[in-house]
Amino acid sequence: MKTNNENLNDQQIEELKKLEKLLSSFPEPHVPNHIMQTVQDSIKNELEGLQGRIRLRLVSILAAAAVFAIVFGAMFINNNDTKTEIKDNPQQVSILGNDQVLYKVGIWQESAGEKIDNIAMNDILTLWTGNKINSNNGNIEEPLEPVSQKSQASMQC
Amino acid sequence: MEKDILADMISKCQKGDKDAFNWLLNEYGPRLYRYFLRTSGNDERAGDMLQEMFVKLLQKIKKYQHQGQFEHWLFRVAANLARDNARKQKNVYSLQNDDPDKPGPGDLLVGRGPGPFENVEHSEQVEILQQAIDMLTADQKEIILLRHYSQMSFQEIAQELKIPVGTALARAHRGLKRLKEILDPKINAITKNR
Repeated sequence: MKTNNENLNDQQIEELKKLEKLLSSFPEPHVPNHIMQTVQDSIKNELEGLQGRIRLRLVSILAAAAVFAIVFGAMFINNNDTKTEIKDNPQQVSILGNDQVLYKVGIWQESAGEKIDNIAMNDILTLWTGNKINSNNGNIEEPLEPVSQKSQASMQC
Repeated sequence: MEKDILADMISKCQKGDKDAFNWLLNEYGPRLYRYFLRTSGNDERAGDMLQEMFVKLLQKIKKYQHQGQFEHWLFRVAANLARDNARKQKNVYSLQNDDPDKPGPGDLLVGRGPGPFENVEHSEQVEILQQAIDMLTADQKEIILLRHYSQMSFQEIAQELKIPVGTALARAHRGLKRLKEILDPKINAITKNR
């Protein structure tokens, strides 16, 4: 496509204006009523479809939220069950020389004196025990409630 | 038309108001239809394009920011649609170019002389002009029709088509001159036969 700038002289500009007037002197075609009606109908349909799609999207969001709530709720209930179970069998371990009581977690390293240096594990422990573990030295920053005598005795056996 | 009414209608359209869209259709539909008719040369296709245009408007108007240039924006959308349609039709015609009824270049070039349009029927004039427009190059047609129906300035048209203003002016000048050369003898021939 030729796009070099071309300049019209004054005479050509005047001629252009006259030619534009000539074009305007022609009558315009009629617009058939049925075409306007068809377009009007399609606007109506499109708008209704659009509203339907918005409604559908809302329903899907609500459904997704409901599924999330159910799954999360189930996980929470499950966690509570396990926590109770673990609470019944507390393990006494020594972390860097400090005797602490921990609740047993699935991937918890039980051997005494071992440093807990896994942040993810800390997170898990925090979640399960409700206590924070210092990721630098493995110390439990907030001691857990002491193990009952009965539990300790049963453990030593 | 009052600017406030237009701004209000645009705002309502952006909220999905059906009546506001119908208002837009009544206000701009006829002009857009004529623009599509002149660019495509086919009334059925022009109707389809008008329909497609309003479906596009439903989607695009939400992003439109009204700064008093609605008509220009509208015709920019229409020009893109017309261009897409012309591209599609070109592909169809390239497969059907042996149609004997299709007017070819020079079919209407008979003699020269002034054009007393007042003696020619309305529908005939419309048809004659359409045949003449169809004989212009795609570039000339695009500029002439966009200018005629959108009332955009040559500066704005040049910006839209990404060409220098001088080129837009020269194309329009050449196209309109050619249009007159085609029209004058045709009108003459018809009036002589009456």
